[in-house]
Amino acid sequence: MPWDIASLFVDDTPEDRAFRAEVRDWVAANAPRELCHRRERIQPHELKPWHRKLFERGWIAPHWPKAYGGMGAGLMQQIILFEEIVRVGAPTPYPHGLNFIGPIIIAAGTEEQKARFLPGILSGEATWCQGYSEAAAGSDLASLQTRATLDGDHFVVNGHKMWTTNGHYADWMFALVRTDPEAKPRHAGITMLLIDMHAPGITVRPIQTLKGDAEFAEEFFDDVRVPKANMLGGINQGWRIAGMVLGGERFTTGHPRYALVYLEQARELAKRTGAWDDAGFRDRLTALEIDLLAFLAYYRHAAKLHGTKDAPLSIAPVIKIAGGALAQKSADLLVQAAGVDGASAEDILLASGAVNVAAELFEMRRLSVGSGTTEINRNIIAKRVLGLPDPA
Amino acid sequence: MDELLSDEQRQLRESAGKLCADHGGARRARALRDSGQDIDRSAWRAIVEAGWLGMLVPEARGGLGLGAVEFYIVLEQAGRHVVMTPLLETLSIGWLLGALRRPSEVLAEVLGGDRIIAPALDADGWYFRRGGSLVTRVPVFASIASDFLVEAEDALCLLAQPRHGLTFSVNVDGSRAARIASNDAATVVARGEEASTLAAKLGDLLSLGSAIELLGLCENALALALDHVKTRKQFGRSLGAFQALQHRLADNFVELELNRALLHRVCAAWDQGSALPAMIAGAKARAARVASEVLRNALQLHGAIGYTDEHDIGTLWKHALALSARYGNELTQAARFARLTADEA
Repeated sequence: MPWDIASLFVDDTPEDRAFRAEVRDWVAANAPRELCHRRERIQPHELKPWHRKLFERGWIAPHWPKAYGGMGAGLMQQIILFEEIVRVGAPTPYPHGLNFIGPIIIAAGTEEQKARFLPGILSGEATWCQGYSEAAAGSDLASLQTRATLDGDHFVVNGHKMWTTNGHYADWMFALVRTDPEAKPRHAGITMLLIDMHAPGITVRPIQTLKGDAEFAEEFFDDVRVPKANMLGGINQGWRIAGMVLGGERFTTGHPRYALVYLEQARELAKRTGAWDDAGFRDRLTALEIDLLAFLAYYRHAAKLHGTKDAPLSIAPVIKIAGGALAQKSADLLVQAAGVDGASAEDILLASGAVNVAAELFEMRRLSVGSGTTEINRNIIAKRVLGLPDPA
Repeated sequence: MDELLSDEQRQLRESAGKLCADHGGARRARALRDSGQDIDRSAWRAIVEAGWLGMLVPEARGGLGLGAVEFYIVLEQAGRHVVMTPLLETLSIGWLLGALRRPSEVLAEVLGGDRIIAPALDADGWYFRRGGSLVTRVPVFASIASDFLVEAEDALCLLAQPRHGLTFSVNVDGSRAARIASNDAATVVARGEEASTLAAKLGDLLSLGSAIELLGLCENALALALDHVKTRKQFGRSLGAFQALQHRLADNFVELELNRALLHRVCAAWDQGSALPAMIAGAKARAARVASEVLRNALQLHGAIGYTDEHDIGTLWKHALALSARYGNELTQAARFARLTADEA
């Protein structure tokens, strides 16, 4: 590439630039070498020292208000921190506490809940997981059936949660549970509970992913007693509470860097395997690089708009749909570049580091499924942006 | 993705939208085509009066000293409303004449809208010489141009509309192309490095502008398709309630959002002097690719009426074909992108 595509269309203000330089120097000195560029999944406990370093530096929660230990900063600083951390191949902290439930506790929690839960999220001592999906409730989340019934000052929880990232490592789960089975519409009978994962009655089973690691788990709840004080927001307010998530994490999970890295690797690998000599390979590479160019432009534009009054509500679904497809197609091309080694379960050594092409292909599947499938996001655009009627 | 415009730019967009809506539209483009013309004279007068033509010319040379973002704003509207005038060509030629080292004598006439100069060159070399005569192609406005801007040897020249040697051909949208084979003398406007640098940038500007017009046109096509599926009923419900169709429209929307951001950013980069030819090649390639996807879907959703000459969607498609073909089509620009981004291997 004749330009530094990673910094293309970056429009940092002078303050942003100064912040970026500061973060870059600090990350160079402090990033954990043993975790950089590691291809196996990094477990939450392995990440704790790095999480703590970021916490001690004051950079763990740029988007949280200062009063709660954050930086009170905008999305740009969040993106800059993310970009500078991944630039050296270091892992970023897990989002479940910091990005998902933390901001919701700040917005909807009682003072007691804030004092009790926020410090552990910030320091990284407590690992959190999200208990939303169930075996029969995925895209149709409002059909969830894990029951919570009030018994004195406790809820008694029975049911089953599934596809829970880090479920088998978590100390806490923020869970959507059914408190009113008769509610119409169904989402009016859902409550958010903060559940101690070490409580009696919880059985956790890891689930092996396509990629081969135990990223997620399923949890069985058998008369698990959850204090009423752990209810977030009011009873049957869970759906509304869950909707308070800030949405900024789309900008990290949907970052153009996946495609960028894969396409660079595909170039290098193709020259070695001879795939480069095929016009078909190069045509597809060109088409994807042009898509990457457009997605980079969109990403920077959307980041600038996020959180302003002019920000269109299409930003999150567009990033999800376009970014997911681009990353997946780029991983496909990487597999093509590898030729006969495209199905290898082993690492291929490149000048830019080692890569396991099939593992990357598998890993990218999550982008079109997790936190709202591509199809659900198309529905959102159809209904809320294009004004089309509900499908019959 | 136009939310980052300044107040002045928003005002320009509003007035440009009104002017183009008042003086454009697919019906009018069809009437023009049927009458055998390729310039809408009254639209052209309105554009001249609005003062847009000197947008990219420095104030010291009689222009407005604006930038590529303003260029984007007016061309998006011109494309959306299928305004059949040499707006892109004149903005680009105006930029070139205003950027010459020596002030140009013809610039004032060009900015006044009286002298239309059609570009007859291409960065990839449509131009070539054979048997001593200049052979080149004019993609559009060949019959109404007073002069053609051509590249000869190491110079950029103005060739007055020759009496002989023009072979006209009509494009599907009614616009007029021509092949020129002429021995006439041409007036040199720039030589050597100045000529090659300006010719390359002119080619970029024309590619960029045609991509922007395509974006505007696609927005119109998507709006037409949405109107149609919301109104038309089959099987007792509106077409818009069928999820298979919804998803295709949603995908069209996503692709257009990306192009809007890309073109906007490339224009901003042009104004900062950091727009690279590869970015423009990629932007035109993608604009043309997405245009064919959006138009194909919009036509399909219209059913049989989309196959008629009287419906606007077909007119939009034909104009999209013309805009895609001129100043580098999808595959030409994709190949150019690949060349410009190839590693030294």
